[in-house]
Amino acid sequence: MKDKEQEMGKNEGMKLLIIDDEVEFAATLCRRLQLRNIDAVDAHSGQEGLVLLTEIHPNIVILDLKMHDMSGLDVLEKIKTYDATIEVIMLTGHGSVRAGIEAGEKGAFDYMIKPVDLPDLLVKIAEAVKKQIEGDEGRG
Amino acid sequence: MTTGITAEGTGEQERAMRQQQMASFGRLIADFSHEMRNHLAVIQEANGLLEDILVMEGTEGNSVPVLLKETAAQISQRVRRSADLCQHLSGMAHRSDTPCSSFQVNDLVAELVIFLERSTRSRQISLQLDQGQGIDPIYNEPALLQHVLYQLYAFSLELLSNGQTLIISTAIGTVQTKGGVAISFRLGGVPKLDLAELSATVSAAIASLGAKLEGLQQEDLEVTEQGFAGFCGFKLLVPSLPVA
Repeated sequence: MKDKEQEMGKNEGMKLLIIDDEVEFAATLCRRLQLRNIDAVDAHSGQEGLVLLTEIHPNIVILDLKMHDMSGLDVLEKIKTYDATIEVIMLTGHGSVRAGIEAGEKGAFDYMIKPVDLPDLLVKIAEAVKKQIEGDEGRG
Repeated sequence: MTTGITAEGTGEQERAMRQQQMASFGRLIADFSHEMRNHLAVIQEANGLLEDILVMEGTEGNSVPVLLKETAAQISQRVRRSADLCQHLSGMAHRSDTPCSSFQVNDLVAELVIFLERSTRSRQISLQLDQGQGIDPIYNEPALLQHVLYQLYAFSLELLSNGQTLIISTAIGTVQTKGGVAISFRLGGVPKLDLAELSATVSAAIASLGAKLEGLQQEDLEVTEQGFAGFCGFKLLVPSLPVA
């Protein structure tokens, strides 16, 4: 577990946005990431998430698939339209494999099912950051 | 020959009805699973935060005892809600133990509404339950009734848009239902609906309960101080069958 958590050390300096209408979940996860020196912000609806997206320009977004105001897949599309280099990790309680495939087709970096171990999520975040850096170097 | 064709047709209809019943149950289980995963995720994160607080004491502005208390309360609340959900799921699963039994319709409807809350919330539809008092238990098929109610809910959901209201209410049945129960669905913001659009399989399931579905009249809709302008709806009249 500690090895996995060391992955997070590579993530300092990045900005992460959590969009999930399970307020307690989003707030607690956000706090735990902040305790690990990750600049994380949480939004509790799709609309709020899209507003914060343009304000904080995150590198990584953790996005719920099913929210009360809009579908996570619609939010994913808007994020990718805004900035295709932002990596999005779908994190949801919805267990359908089809939803994961659809998220992948729409450009999500990965799809994880709740509840998820934080060390596993941190590894996934580190992988997403790595992909983003490689993409930047390729473009640069 | 005519009898044979009819029997075959009835058999197919019965199979279709039972298949649809299983599909309703499957969708309810999927919603249950989604709800449980969310509770477990909160429990897991809250528990993780407790560990973090103990390891990284005092890294934030809030005092440790306050944080511990809040987080422990969060865990307790989610465990309670998860246990309630499991209890309701167990109750629902056991409704199929005996095809016909005596049961309280109010209990059955309340149980169903708990599982429907997530799907209505995700559609931004307000779901309200108004349970009538003094309703006697009825003898009928509880699992089939639950399936029919789920299908009527799904039918209503198709007609409702974001921000609108669905009110499900129960009342003592009329003489027509021979001491049964009337279960009404009021759709706020939907001016009209056509019950003929319900599938033949749902209609067959309603008939199998000995029940009757009818549109709500204007007087049935004006039951609140505000009235029900822009509401329409229907009611399911479910009889209490003679005990075999």
